[in-house]
Amino acid sequence: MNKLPRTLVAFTLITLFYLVLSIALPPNSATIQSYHLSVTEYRVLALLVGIPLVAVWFASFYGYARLDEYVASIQRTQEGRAFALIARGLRYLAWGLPIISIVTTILGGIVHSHNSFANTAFIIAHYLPVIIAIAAFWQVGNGSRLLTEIAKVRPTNSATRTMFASFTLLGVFFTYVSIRTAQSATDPYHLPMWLILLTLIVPYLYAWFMGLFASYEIVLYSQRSRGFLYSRSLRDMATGIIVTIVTSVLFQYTQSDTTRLRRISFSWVFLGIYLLLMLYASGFLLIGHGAKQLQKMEEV
Amino acid sequence: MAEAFSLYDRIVRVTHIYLGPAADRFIDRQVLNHLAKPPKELTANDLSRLIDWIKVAVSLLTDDQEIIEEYIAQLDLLTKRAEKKSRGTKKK
Repeated sequence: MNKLPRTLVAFTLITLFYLVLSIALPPNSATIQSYHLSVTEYRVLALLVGIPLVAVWFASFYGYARLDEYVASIQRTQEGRAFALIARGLRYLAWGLPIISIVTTILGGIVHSHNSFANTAFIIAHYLPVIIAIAAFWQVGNGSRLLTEIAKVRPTNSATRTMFASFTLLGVFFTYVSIRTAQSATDPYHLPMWLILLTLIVPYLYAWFMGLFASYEIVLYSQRSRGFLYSRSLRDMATGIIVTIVTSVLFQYTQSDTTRLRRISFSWVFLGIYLLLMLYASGFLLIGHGAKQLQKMEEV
Repeated sequence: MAEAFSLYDRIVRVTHIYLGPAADRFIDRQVLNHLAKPPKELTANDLSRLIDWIKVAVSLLTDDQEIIEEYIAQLDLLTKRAEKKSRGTKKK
């Protein structure tokens, strides 16, 4: 029943593994060249980014473990199935962060000693977040759909049209940015344009639309839910889920727009990363807080 | 038996205002754990003790005294109605 200790053990192991890798493996030469850093400066900065990163991992593991515990206490109810799917999606997002960091660190280390592997490493580093995003938002989307069916609500006409317009705008803008990045001198994709369009841009947009639409469905469900104390806790949890989804979309977007990022000063990039990390962590902490309150209702 | 069933339903309906879909599970637990009887066998005589336990349980969920008092006041109203009904039945 109590899944929190198991999740915390997993978090500790994965953090230790990441820290050992960060120290043991050679530094990322592309980052060193881009920002004119020495190896020591790179290590210090990696640690500075690494500490809040680990804190975010902790928040995300805590958030999804709390939600998992709540789901276990309502597993026989109608909402139980829906929240179980959402919890599974959030678990993929939570595990996605350390997995991407660890894999990119390992790939960086391999590239350092085998330069011919660079293109393959870049490709893997670009596909991994897409796969995680689709898997995570697919599950969250299935869960949110179930919730709207339980609450018997459907998106309003004006909301649907606004969403279509926003998604189209986001899609076109992201495609433009990605194509420009691919055509730049520092093309990070190392892939032909048709492959970038079909296997990166389309899946990313598909995942984001699923995630953002799921956020809207969760809002609809929480607005319809009755029970003063219940809906208050549910609102916290729903806000957390929405913040997490939106932030992860922003994260993935910034990772794709590397051309623009390289033009921005390093301190602004650093500040932006910290802000996104804080938002991401606060989303998961809100999920954890809301889920804890809801679980209490199933225990007292 | 039909009267006891409707009393349970009314308690769940009042609780639903505060605990939403968790209401029936919450009431079932209070009756089972503290009154040691199946929830559907709840009678007017059990109400006073049940309300005391509900007050304790809800205090663990929120610090908002206004909500707790409002909820308990609604449950007290149910007790009064149940007592009135049972007096009316005895007179007949």
